[in-house]
Amino acid sequence: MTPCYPHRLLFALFVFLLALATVASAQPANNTDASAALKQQVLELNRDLLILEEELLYPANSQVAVYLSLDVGEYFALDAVKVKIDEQLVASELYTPKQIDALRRGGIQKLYLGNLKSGAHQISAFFTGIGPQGQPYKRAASVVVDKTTASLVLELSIVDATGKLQPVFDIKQWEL
Amino acid sequence: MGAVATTALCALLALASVAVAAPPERHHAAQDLRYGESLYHYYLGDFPQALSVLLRAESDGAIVGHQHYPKLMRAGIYMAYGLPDRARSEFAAQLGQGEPQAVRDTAHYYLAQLDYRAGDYAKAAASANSIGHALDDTLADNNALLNVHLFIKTGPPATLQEAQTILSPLRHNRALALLNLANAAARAGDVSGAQQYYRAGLSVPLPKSGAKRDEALAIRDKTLTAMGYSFLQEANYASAKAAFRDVRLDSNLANSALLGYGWAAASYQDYPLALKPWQELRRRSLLLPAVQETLLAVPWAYEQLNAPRSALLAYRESEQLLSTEFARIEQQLERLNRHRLMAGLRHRGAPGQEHRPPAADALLARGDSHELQSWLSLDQVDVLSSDSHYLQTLLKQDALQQQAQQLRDLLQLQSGLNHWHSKLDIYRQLVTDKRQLRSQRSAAIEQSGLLQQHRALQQQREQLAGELARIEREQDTLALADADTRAQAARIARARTSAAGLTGNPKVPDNAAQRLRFYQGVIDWRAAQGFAEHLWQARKTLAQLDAALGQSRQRSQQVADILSTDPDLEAQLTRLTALQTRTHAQLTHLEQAIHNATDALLHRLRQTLQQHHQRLQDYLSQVRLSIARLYDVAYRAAQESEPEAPVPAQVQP
Repeated sequence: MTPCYPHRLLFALFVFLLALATVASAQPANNTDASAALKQQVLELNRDLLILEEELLYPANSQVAVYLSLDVGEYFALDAVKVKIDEQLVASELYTPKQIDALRRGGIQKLYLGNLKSGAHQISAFFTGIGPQGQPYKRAASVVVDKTTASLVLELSIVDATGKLQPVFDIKQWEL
Repeated sequence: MGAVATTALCALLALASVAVAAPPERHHAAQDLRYGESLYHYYLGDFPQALSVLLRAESDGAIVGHQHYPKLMRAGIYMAYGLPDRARSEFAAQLGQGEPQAVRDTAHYYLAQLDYRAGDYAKAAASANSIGHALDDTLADNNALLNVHLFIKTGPPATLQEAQTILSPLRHNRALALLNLANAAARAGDVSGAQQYYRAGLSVPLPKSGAKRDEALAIRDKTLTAMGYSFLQEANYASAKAAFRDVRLDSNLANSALLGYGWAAASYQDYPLALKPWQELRRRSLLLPAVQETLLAVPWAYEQLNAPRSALLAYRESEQLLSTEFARIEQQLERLNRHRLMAGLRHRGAPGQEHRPPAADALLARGDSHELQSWLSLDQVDVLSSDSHYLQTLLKQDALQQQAQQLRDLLQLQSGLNHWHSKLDIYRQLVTDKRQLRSQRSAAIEQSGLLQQHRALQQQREQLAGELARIEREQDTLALADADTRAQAARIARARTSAAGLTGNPKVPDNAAQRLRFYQGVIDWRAAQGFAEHLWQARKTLAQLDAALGQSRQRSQQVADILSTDPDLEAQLTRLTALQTRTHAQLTHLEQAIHNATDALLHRLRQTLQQHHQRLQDYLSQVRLSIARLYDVAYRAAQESEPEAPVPAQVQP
């Protein structure tokens, strides 16, 4: 008796492959209305909670917020940032490739949110990474700001200076 | 969400972050901080946070500098976060508002995508037909791909020649469109037509680097594998083998390709070559159909090589593998409960973050659940991890993935709300403590009369100012003279008084009065010399006193205001209470939803495992039948050749 092994899965696998190739382009809609409504409600609740938290912990008259942005970031590969207020380290961040990608694509990171007394304060930021020549690159930027009873919002921005082919590190104060 | 939809959404968000057209892969930072922050969370895959930040920004006031894009982005995030109805209504709301053409086209494109995904192809086609020419390059390419998919779903199968018109606008998505057209042709039974598409797809140049290259390589692997199987159907084994050989071994399709490669080799009787990929496959997870097939394919190849002993050993090994898998399935079914499922779902962390323990990462890096079949490799991982990985592999199956993702989203929301729940308790305590402290301070201030002190100081200041005015008016130079001058003036005044009382006394010199007048004149002159400067100093001091008193008055007022605005704490407590109530209610709803979703997923998992068991049971029957057949052949051969019966090979399980 000659054993005959049928290619029983050949066609089945082929069909499976054909289906698989279209999965990427069209998924069946899973209409879970109740879950969707619940998600929406929780998102709105989360928004209200965020507002309350900020008002409680960081009232506008003492609030200071520091953001970080990359524009476009071709001449500097960011590794880490440290932020000091009046020589006191308040925030530091080591960046993952995913975070860098998010920043390069236009995202802005809220680096620090805290409280500060009214008056003059020195804000310093220290950037570490790889510069335009592929060499380790460290730069700092500093600014003296006058904290009033309005919320203080600062943006640390790393901007490509295309004329110099160098990155420029700047601290910008936002008027809200 | 499908790969294409994800790419398209990213393109939308990328578009949204640039005010002007920019070369691909280059983006400027957002102009609005809150919008930029939302983008940042989106790109990190944290959709709930991205939405919360965006909703928060919108509640504070409109985001400036980005026109309609924040709203489009919000709709896009709803789409990515599994809220298609909400996304649809948000996209639709952007239409008919006098919006720019680019916004209109973008909204129509995503509405078409949503309808396509919902299976409403007619509606999707209507939306797609409304799209003009203002789409960004990436979106335009995705739109061209969507048109191809609609063409596949609604039109008759077309040849490569006939599809040229619809293929011509495609750029980055050309290979994927060709693959899907090929698959459509293959499903319709037009194998040679499909192969034309496959070949055209393989001729599309690969991007040089980046994520697009990985995507293109994955599509190429799919194309090669599907083409290989189409060649097998046509008995074109050499071409099939060549196609399978080009599939990357670390790709998701490597299992199917290895199986196909073996079949191609076996089809022209090169059984040793067929055995190489099949033996490799046998060591992988039996959850994979290609691996299941090797349970029969490997011993069958040995039989073809006229090696019945090796074939018997291989069947026995298949039997053993099946027994182990049955035990694992039984174990999974026994241990599969709510708790383990939750642990399995949380195992991967938040969506987009892909947190996996190092052990699981190491195992996954080896590809295709290698450890599940090889117990020798279990020294690298404990049984629980292996067990959990088995569950993860199950959850990755297409049929379960969406249900699992839905449950994972709910669990993530629950985790976030639980976090808020405990934080709200702390905030309540904080506000209560603050109120108590304020009350204590208020009483202390009341008792000390601190807020009235500046009034007493003001009275003293008024007296000083009056005295200074008198000195100036009367030109009382001595009042502002230094202490020595004033002391000398006082002594002269006393001496003059004494001299006047002693008038006529012979002991008093005759010129005493004259000398005293002279001394008085000297002192007056000295005082007058410094009067202007002393007056200026006095005025300056008075001005400083005024400033200090002003500050004191202002601070007193501020403290009084704070003390009189106790209701702000009450308002915060009221809001806290309301939010605590809402959080509690949402947690209850979430718990119920999670309970239901878990039950449904557990049911599906059990069904899947039972179906898997049933499939393997069929394999086991065939394996046992083949073993019996081999014994039967050996027995008959022995009977025919020798009176003495042969002893069958003793196989260790």
